[in-house]
Amino acid sequence: MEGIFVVTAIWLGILTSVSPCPLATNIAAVSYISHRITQKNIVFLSGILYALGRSLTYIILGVLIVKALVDIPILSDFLQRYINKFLGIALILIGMILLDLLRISLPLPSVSENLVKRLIEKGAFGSFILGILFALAFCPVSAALFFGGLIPIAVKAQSGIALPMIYGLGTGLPVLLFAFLVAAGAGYVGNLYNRIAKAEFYTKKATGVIFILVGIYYALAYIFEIV
Amino acid sequence: MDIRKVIKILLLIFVVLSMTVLVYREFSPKSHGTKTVLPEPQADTVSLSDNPEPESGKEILKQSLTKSGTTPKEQGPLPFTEVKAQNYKVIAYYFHGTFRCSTCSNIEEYSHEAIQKYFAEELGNGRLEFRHINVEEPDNKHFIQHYQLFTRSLVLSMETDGKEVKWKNLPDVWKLVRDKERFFQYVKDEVEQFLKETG
Repeated sequence: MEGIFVVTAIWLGILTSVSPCPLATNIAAVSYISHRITQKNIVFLSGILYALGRSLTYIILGVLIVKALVDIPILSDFLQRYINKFLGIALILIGMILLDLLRISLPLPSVSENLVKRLIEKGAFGSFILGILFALAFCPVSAALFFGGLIPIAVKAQSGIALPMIYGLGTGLPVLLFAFLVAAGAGYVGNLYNRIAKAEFYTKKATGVIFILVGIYYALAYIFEIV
Repeated sequence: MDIRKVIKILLLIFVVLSMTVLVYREFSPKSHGTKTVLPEPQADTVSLSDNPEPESGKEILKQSLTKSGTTPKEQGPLPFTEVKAQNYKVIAYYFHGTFRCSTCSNIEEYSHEAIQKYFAEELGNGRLEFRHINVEEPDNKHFIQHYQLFTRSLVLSMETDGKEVKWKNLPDVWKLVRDKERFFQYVKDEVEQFLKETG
């Protein structure tokens, strides 16, 4: 019986990740995870952390609903209404940092500017944050699959942690796979032409551009409501 | 001028503009309406499928009020007298948000088509009605709690003398949206079941 739950959770996760509406964030995620394109290990680690970040979001939501009995409609309405709006602005700003168009100066003296910049650029830990953020950005399809598909099973199994975690890993799986294929392919070509150092410079810029474009798309769709 | 600087400034302007619009939309009082929903059958709600503009229940309500009071042009029955005359009616609500996704548009289209295809007679005599509601409009927020909505949904509601006696969310629209035939059958069966109970 539990095996069925696990398989269903993974399957719902994969369905979520391949549905058309989170496509824009998936493109941004693939590009971010694979931007350290010549180092396959880092790409792989980033991908796993991205999936774990997604899992963390779903675990928190799962616990809130299954254990704390938070009202599903309120939660879902809040997430769909606000997170997507902020996501657009956040993506543009992150993209600008990746392109060195923006410098971050935090008022906190203990957190240095370099730390934040390193966090965003180095990939691995940034992917974790990105996973958390992207998982929060619910669209109608993912809301139907999570709140309508996964949550009823999680409630039935009284599993606020395990099933949402498995679902989260499922939602990250195709992105992880794709990023790894991109990195493996590009790494191979890069070796052939001996242009490893240059490749990473361009992939970082490309990631910045993609973030800004996806951010603009989100802002147009959710804030200006014209797409 | 440095092209990087231009891009940077343009992007920052866009970000600031986005934030302004975001804050403005959030806090501008769009409309102050009552929170009650009156059941009015009106022909214009039934022919909206090719109109992607979000419709609030309030707007629809206003339209129907003015129209029913002044012009007898509509094919449908005039609202108030008809509702009084018949005790039961079924309303099929399609709930959506401001952002439209392609799968959701399909669900909306199929639901509407299926109902028009199988229940033309009931739509005509006012026993059945199809309404599109944007739950992100301030006046329609109460639907979210009432019908426990968490995504785009098709909900059937049965009313007697304007009072709701029963409702059902049809969650399988999401499962069947890739199979038009079964989707149509599902909507047909569910609506039939509801209409049967109205006698």
